[in-house]
Amino acid sequence: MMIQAEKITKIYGKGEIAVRALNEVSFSVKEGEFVAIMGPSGSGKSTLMNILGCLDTPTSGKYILNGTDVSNMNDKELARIRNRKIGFIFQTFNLLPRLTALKNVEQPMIYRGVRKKQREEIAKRVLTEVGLGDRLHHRPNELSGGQRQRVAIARALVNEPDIILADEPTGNLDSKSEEDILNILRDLNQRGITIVMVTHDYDVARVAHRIVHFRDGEIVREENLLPDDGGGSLEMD
Amino acid sequence: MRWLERIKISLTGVWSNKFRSFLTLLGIIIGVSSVIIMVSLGSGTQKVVGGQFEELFSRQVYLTSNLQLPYRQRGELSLEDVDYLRESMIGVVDVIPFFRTWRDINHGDREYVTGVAGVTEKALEVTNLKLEYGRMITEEDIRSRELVAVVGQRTLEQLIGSTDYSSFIGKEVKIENHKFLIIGVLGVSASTVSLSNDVVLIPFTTFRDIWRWEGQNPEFFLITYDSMTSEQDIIKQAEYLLNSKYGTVRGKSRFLMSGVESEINLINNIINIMTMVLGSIAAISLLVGGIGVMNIMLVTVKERTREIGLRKAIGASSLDIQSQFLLESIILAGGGGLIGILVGVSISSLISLILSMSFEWWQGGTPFWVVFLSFAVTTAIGIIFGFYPAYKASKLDPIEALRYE
Repeated sequence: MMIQAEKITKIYGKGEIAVRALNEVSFSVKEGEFVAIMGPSGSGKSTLMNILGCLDTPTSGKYILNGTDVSNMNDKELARIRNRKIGFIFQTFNLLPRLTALKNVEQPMIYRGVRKKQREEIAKRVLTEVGLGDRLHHRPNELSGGQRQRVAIARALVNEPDIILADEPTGNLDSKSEEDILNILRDLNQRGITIVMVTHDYDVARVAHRIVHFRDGEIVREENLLPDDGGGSLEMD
Repeated sequence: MRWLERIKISLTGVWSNKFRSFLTLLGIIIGVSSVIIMVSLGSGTQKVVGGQFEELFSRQVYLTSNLQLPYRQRGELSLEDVDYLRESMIGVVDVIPFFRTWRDINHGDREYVTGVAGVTEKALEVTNLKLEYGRMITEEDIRSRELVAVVGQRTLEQLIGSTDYSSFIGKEVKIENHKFLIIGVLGVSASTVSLSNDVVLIPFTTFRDIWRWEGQNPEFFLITYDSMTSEQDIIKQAEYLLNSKYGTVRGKSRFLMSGVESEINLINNIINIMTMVLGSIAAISLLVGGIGVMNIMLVTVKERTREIGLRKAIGASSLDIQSQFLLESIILAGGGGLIGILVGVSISSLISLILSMSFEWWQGGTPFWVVFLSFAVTTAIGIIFGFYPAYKASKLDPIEALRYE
């Protein structure tokens, strides 16, 4: 099991104003799976993503990532997990504006302690894989939205993570770029990378094997899209 | 994560806001360079003053009767004491007596009051007075009690009202109805500290002949000593010898002795205090510069909230973030310090150059300790004023930071 979250509760604030963003959510993702999380805003899906991404810790409950219990890790250990095991893709790309595509992609490897020469080699290779071999030295503002997101994907991949967490990866893109990005994600998944993606767009969610529907901090419904599992009602292409 | 990479990331941060970084640096640069200029000029002044003093009056002790005692109990130096001290003390080079009195002097119908000193031929060797024209009193003049005088330029100016000094050689000056032949004119050597050149020197033998009553005993001795002997040594010996000869008054010596070593120390202390006061005022601007660094670092952290969030997401620990921003502030403050040192040293060298053109005895130079201290202090400013912003950055919640607009 890649992700095993047991009875995760997250409460923001204290006393009267406390908000229960997640209420005893149990959730698991198999290795190599592609899972989409859907739900209206405020449903707790982003909170879950942050906890899965080790950016936040649950108020209670247990989170096991690829066999490691991360619920009680300290800041430094969590940073290491984020660095080595998780690749993030954001709706707003979050590229560093003053750095070139190549430098942006190198950043996670800097924190891993990879030497400069090797870093450049890997960054170049991965950027070429996502189709940006000719845009290595462009800055984010010289790239289109789709290209920026591909830089971000390359950045998420360079440390060879176990899992990719994508938060509305196509939210800021036109439909052509959206298709490109989804194709890349699907390719990555077919190469064995586990992907968890948050979206509010059903058409985007359909790329996944399974859709988990959230409402008011709880899972209300799961939808299996894989025909061989027997539960899916929608076809895959 | 390696430190070199950390430094590179921080340098990129400083470099990406060149103008703002420059303005922040400027605060530190002005602070450091003014500290360096103040201290350099202070130490230059000290060198000049101390140097002049030491050159002129080093290894010299002034000995006179103890003016702190009631008149009758004060010791009176006698001429025999010259030989007594010269022969009994170890390390002594010479003991030179000075007689002195205030008298009316006349030239034609002009009159003036000045100090008249009865001296030996060695008087010029131990004071800052120097012969400008004519000749000095000789041993022969002393032996034959000649009525000759070596007169200070200032005295001539006051008495005769002219500055054509060389023309006075061979003319006469009257000291209380005794006609003296002017044989030399005195100037003062280039010095920041000078004895007045308003003085008339005459042979001490002549002096004693004329003023039989009050002029019998020397007013003071200048004792010179060799480089192997310390001022304290000489003072102790002289005190011992005079105390055993004349006795003491309730344990106090009847004579007073002082060297310039202690005076040089006093002057050095005064200059030190002035340098420190000026340096402290300059250091306040350094403090203001430090506050500028903190201010800009707080802005930077705020501005780069998303970057901080992202860096955390891709694997930066709180320590990584903290060191990134702390390094930035150290680069700003320490870099400003380095530039400030260059600017300060350049400006103080320039000032020294200008001063040395006007005053040949000026010695410039920035003491090494102030350069080192400036760099250490600015780096410390970087750490102290950068710590809070960096800490704030490290404690940012990555999720909120990533959402920050």
